[in-house]
Amino acid sequence: MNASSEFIRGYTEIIILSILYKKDDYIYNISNTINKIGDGYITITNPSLLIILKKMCEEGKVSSFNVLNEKNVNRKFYKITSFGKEFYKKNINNYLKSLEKLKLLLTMGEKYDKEN
Amino acid sequence: MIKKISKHIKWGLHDKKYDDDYKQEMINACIEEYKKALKNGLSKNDAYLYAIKDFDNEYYKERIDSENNKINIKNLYLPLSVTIIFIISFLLCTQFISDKVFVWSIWVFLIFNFLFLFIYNIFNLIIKKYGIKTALLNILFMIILYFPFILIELKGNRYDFNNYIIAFAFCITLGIIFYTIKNKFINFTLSLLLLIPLLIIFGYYVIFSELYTIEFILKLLIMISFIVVCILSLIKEKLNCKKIFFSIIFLVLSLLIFFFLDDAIQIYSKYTVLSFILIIALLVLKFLNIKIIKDYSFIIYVFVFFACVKVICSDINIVYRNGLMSTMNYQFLVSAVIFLVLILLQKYLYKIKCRKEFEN
Repeated sequence: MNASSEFIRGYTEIIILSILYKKDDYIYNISNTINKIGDGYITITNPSLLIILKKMCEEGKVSSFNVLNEKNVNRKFYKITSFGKEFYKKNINNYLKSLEKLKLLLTMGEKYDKEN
Repeated sequence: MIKKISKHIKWGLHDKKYDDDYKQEMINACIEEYKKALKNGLSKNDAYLYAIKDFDNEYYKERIDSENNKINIKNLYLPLSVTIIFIISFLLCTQFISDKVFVWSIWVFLIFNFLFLFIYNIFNLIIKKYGIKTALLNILFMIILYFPFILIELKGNRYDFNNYIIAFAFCITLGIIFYTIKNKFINFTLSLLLLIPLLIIFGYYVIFSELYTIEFILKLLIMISFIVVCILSLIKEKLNCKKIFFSIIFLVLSLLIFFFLDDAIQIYSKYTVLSFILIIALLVLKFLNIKIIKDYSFIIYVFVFFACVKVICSDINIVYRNGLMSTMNYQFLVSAVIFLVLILLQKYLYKIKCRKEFEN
């Protein structure tokens, strides 16, 4: 549990932006999406998601609005802002490239084993 | 455990920059994690630690920093009060002041506290830390706390220290009752509304009836309140040892106050014994970490201390009448030092407790 939640560090913001780029969503759905696709390798807890979303709201990357659900309970939805979209488009390639480089760095030991 | 999570989050998000919505969302999110962790087979305590882990990583440092650095109006209150204690202590120790001045100093202190808390509440109302309801209720509660002192003035026994002791005991009782009611039983506003007519009726009898003295009425009120609180605590908290212990202490106290103390003690007056019991009760409360009423406990503490010391000193004075007058000063100074050490110790223990809560 601990290790997998560490993997996401540094990528959380861009992951959230990517999910919200597709559609507006609420916190539990966002964490479910991450945990489902992460398949146990990448997980995020609701409190940390909430902390990051609050920070992103303050930075103007996302905004929130309330929607009354069928049970008449207010549910907070998050929406990507135009600044958030711009940030996502501008940085997604950098993140992907950094992942490739990360892969190279991580597999150095494995490659050394194979070569010798 | 859910209550513990909620308390933990509220403590961490103390700053007014976090609105209530965010606090509630965070509590819900942590409870969700806690339930998930329980389903995954973690023990209750491990699930709790897991649920608050991310929250602590983000807010623990912030809270501790703010605890260490904050300079707010409340922090100024303690040094100010301690300074006043020292000034009065000095005057008392040098025996330059008469009983009249002592009573006036109590009144100055009362007025100072009233004004301070009044301004404090209005200030919080202006900066929107308190809602109008909370501020008004606080002010109303302060007025009720001053009720016995106003009675003393109206009945004209201003220089009878025994009345002050009973009045302080009344304040403590009220504090305990409000704390219990507010946290456990019925609505705070409702309880205030119920109490006001009750106080008016009692006040009427005390002022206009020759039959009942302030002492009798307040003692009666204290005893009834103690017994009610004890019974309610025992019913509601039957599995909680701490609460049962607390209830039994006050049940015994109430019986002592009403029956035993009347004429039983010869050498030291009954009020000295009552004063000792009050001091012990306050210490027990402090060390059991039962807050009487957050903003008022310190003031009540100071009041009780002053009145008790004065009465105790008078007794000692009588006992050592034959040439040992200095004992009074010695006793007073020792009591003052013990009192200050206790305040500091309590503050230190509270800080350690907060840190431990976050570090475990």
